[in-house]
Amino acid sequence: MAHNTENCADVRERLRTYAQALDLDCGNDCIEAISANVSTLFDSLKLLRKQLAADFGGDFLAFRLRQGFAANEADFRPPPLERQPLPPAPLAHGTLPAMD
Amino acid sequence: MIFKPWRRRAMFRRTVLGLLIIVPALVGAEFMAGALPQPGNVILDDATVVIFGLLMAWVTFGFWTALFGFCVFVARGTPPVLPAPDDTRFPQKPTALVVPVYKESPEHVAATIEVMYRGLEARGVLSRFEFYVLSDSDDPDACVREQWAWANLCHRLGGFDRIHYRRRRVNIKRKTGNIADFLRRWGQRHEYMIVLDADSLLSADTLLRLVTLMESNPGTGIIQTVPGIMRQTTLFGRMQQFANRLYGPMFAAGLAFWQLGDSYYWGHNAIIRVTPFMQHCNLPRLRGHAPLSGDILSHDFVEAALLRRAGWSTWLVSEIGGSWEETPPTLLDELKRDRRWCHGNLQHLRLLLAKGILATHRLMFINGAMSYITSVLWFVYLLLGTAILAWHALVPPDYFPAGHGLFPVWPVWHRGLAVVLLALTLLILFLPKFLAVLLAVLQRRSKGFGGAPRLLASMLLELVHASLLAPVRMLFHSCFVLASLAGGGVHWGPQRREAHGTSWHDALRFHIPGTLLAIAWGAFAYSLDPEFLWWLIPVLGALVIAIPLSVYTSRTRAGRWAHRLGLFLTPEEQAPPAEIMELECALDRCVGAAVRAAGGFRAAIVDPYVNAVVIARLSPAARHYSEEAAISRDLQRAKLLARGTLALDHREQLAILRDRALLLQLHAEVWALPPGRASQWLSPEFAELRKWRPSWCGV
Repeated sequence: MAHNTENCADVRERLRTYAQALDLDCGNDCIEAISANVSTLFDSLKLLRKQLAADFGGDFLAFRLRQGFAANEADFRPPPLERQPLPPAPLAHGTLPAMD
Repeated sequence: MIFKPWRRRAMFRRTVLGLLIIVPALVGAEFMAGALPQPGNVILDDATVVIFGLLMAWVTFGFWTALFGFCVFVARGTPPVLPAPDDTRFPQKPTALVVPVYKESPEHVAATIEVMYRGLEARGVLSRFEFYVLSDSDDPDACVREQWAWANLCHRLGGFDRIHYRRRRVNIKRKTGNIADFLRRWGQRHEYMIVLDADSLLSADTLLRLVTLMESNPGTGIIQTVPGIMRQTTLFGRMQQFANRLYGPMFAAGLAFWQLGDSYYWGHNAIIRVTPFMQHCNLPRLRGHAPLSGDILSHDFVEAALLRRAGWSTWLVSEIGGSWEETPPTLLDELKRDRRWCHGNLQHLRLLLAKGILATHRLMFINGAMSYITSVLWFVYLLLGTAILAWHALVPPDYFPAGHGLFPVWPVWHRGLAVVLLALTLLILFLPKFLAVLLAVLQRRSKGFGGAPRLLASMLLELVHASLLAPVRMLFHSCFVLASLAGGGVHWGPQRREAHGTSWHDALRFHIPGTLLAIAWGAFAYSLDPEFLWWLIPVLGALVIAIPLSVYTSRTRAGRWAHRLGLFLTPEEQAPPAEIMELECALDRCVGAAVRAAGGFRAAIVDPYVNAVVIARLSPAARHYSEEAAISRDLQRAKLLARGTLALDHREQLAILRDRALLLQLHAEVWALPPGRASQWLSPEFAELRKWRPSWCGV
């Protein structure tokens, strides 16, 4: 993956937009600190995500689900499957000759 | 089979109904034979008489059903009731509320679920119910919006453990396959399921009542409610809503009166006992090639017949309120839906001789098919009338036919008899509407319709509207029948429920053939006999004005205008039930939250929360890709980053929506694109959108 070196203003702007997208009020200090230390967009965003997810063991998905929905990943899964087979279609009983 | 005490009553009532249909049809046909001009063409005359008899049977069926309903209300005050305790109990068994959807408005679905969920919660019975949104949507944008709406709904209600969302990758057997898939996965978790359409709404009291009825009647397989129409804004929709509210209960009571435990299932707003349904209602595909093969589109009638065949009774409970649905807002939308229903009902004819189906359900199959075949019959009947006219106008009369006596045979036409026959037919068609008004007045319900004068005026206007639409529907339904019999397939599309109005362009495109046909037909009839045109004017005139009629009745402005005049009012409009008012509020909330996922597939990649929702629903287990698949995956990723979402087709986008690792990767990469390349993803509108802060999203 190619990570170009962007100028600091672009990095700051992108970090702010990303924080907005997350509905977070990231302070300027935080953004300044990240953009000053990391020169690429990719790495600076990565660092931001890492910091945000620090309380979730670095799992940014878990952070987003907790932040946005007060939920865990398991909440998003359907109930366990039972795989109850349905009886074959009625023709299998030889009672509906017009159907497969 | 368990003895069912209602069966003898049902047999008697159906026998009486049968006689009341057959005798007038025969008498009417005899009258028609006498009313035709003589001497005429035997083939044309006989065909006319037979078709008139069939049409008479059809209209008298509706007439007597309505009259039964009227008598039931007048005699008892309430329609027949399935035995049950007066009050609802705490449900003993778990019930699933299933909502099969196919590219429907996810916000609308979420809003209706929210109302029902909150209602059940308020009554302290939520623990006995679970909701399942069963998506068959195959559009990536729709899929993302559905998942987003579901996640927001669950968050808002705290219902992640009670509201489930499942999307099928392959839409085998359409809606029936969708339900069957649910039953295979989770059927055993529930004793009952209440099937809902995307626009269905049931009050919590009705949901509880249905469960109580099921628990009190262990031999019952299906209980169908009679949904009222709600939330209509176009003139067309409001007239349908008014008609449904005024005539619906009377017709439903009449149907319930003669059907008893052999009733219809209409596919939604009904409760079903899961185990027998799983055992007996796994619908097959109809064998062979077109016509009428493949998936059974109108599955509900067949499921009721199969369940009944297995000994489980099916009931229509017209006395339970609190059940609503929406209806197509315009004539064209209704006709598009009818195309599918027509094909489905005609498919039932292939099941007529299936073993073990009860005679009543065979008759229901015929009845369903006749809903559309009668249009062809009516069309042919009108053609025959014109052909008879042409015969008499163009063929010189034979005053001394072979084998006749010395005296000439003068041409005669008993015009008076024809007028009497027409008047009788109109009486049979329209009397139920007047009876419904009378019933509303007798039951002191007219205030809900704006008072007796407005009720009567609305009914008369609705009658005129229905009369104008009848020829238009006849023409379309005739085409549908012929198209289905010719092997034409039916497009499975989402039903449009929002009122956007019909454009002049669309109206012209759909109605112009009918208008031109009517003009040509009228001119031909006029050239034969100017007087005959008057007999055809009600039909041809309606076809001529179909275009403006279709356009103007599709408008919400016209609907509002009628509302201001106090026309087509319904009790639900005057004093909306709590559930309908709550639905409006819930819709506002859902539509507000939906803004964030409006971009669909793009939002699933760019928006951190939408991306999280889509990913969270995918299995975290690592997937192995073959070398070829891995190359293809990389190629798609590169195309997407370079050219945006338009670079991929729907199939490729859906594949990405199932790829957890790729979604995570794309989200990170899109945000890291240099400013020049990021513009197509992180557009100014996107930045604006992000400033909108949902109320649920606390930091």
